[in-house]
Amino acid sequence: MEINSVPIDATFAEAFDMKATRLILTADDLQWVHESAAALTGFGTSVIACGLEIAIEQELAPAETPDGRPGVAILAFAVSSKELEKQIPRRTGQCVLTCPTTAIYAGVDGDKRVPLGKGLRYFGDGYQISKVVGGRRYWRIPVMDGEFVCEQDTGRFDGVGGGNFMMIGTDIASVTLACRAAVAAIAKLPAVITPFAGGATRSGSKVGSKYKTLVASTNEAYCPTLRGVVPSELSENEHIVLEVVIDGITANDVAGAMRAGIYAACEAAGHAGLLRISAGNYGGKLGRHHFHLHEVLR
Amino acid sequence: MTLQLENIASGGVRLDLAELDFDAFVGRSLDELKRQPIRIDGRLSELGECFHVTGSAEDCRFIMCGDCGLVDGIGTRLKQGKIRIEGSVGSGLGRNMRGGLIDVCGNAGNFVGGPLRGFRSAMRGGEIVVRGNVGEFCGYRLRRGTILVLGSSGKGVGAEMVAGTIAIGLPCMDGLGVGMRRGTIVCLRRDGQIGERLVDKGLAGNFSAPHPMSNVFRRLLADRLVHLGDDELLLRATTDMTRVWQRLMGDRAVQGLGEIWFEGE
Repeated sequence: MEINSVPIDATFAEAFDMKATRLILTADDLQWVHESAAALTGFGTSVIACGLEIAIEQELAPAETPDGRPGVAILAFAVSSKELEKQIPRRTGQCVLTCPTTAIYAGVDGDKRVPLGKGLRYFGDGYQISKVVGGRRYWRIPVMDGEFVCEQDTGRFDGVGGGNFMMIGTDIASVTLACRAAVAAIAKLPAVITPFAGGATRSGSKVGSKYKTLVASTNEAYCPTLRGVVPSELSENEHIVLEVVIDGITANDVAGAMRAGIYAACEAAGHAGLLRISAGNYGGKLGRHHFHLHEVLR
Repeated sequence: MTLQLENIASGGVRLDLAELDFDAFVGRSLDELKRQPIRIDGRLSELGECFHVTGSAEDCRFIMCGDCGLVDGIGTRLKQGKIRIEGSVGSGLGRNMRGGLIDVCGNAGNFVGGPLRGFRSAMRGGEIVVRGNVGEFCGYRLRRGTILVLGSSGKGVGAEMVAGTIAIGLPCMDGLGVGMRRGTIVCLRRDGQIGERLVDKGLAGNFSAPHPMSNVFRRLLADRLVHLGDDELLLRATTDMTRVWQRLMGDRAVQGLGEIWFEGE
């Protein structure tokens, strides 16, 4: 299979079930929204060490937010509900409560809940106000610019994390071009995020390490500098590999994002140094979701 | 399917439905429903004696029609479902209500959402909409839930309220929020004199000075009130975020953190 002369490997991406939530962050203007969101989603690239994979899902117009102000929807994924319930209130308290004019709301319904204002309300030191409006509980916490409004909690659902594809090319310029086109195409889609910086990572990993304390280490088969030293997946003229990692609400969402990203990458750099598209997996033994590239792109 | 209750009582008798459990109507036959207890001028009687009962209660939706102006205690202890009254009602509407919705097309008497006699706390959930006016002590000792009155009110609105929300078109200033500990009273209609009138009635000493309030929560509440009230004037008054609203906090006499909202100049 080829797209714009770029061969697509007959392999698959292996993804996992994760615990996930969705938040809606608003503020008086988009600058405050993005500054708060940048803090909230900061250090949220991989569950390996960050606790969460978290990023902006999409920008929301005032008509799409609960309080009629500009905002963003944010998706967050964790390996366990316990970790999600630890990380979300902590990040909200330090990155949203602290940012001028912001408010935060549940972005998804459901019986399983992740606390937001449930714990943050104590910052109000007894001056906080609880209001139930239309069956939803909000907390109004007095702060120095007025009051911080947040919903009691948000819903939790089972999401899919770890969908991926790798762009392999001759040089960093061409693969960067492909990568940025892919991430831009995925950014337009709802229900998915690409949590790494710029949407891509250069440090694709394998499970385990020669060092007992590490749960993940470099995937030497895709490191061009180790070609000839270890069994390599790269041919002689393949010098750069970047991987786009995708988390989504459902497996279909992840598959759709992979499709959009791969097509965009191949269209952008198919004749400009992008040599091959592949995907990362662990032999199919760890993750329940297998995204076969040829099926995803069919 | 809706259960329809048509008041057929004549001779100006006063009916009290406080002992009627609307939540227990589901799954009962019409004959059983007609035997449910009510009081006629204080005398224990049956629902079927004064109401023509038709339809089904399976969906927890009730419509009351006929002249219910002398019918007290409608929706007492209601936990779920919706009661729509096609006219005015007597006093004690939604006393000790826990959930559901009561929608009154006309006026309502005293103690809307108030406590039953002998009970310290009152309504603690659900929503009441009165499209006309209400009598005295609307939301007295209110603990939770929302009361929306599109018209005006008698004295004592939100007196001794503990929490919850009362939104009134034009509330009487006498005893407004007296003894309130928490909760929100919203004066919906634009009235430039409201600040001065609060002072005139001696309330201002018990409340903080008015200060501009945040629009964030106001928008959340406004959307819900507009949804409940379905009223054009209310829509314009509450959802126009360019208008400046003021807030008072009190009642200081009880170290209260309640709030009264009104539209400023």
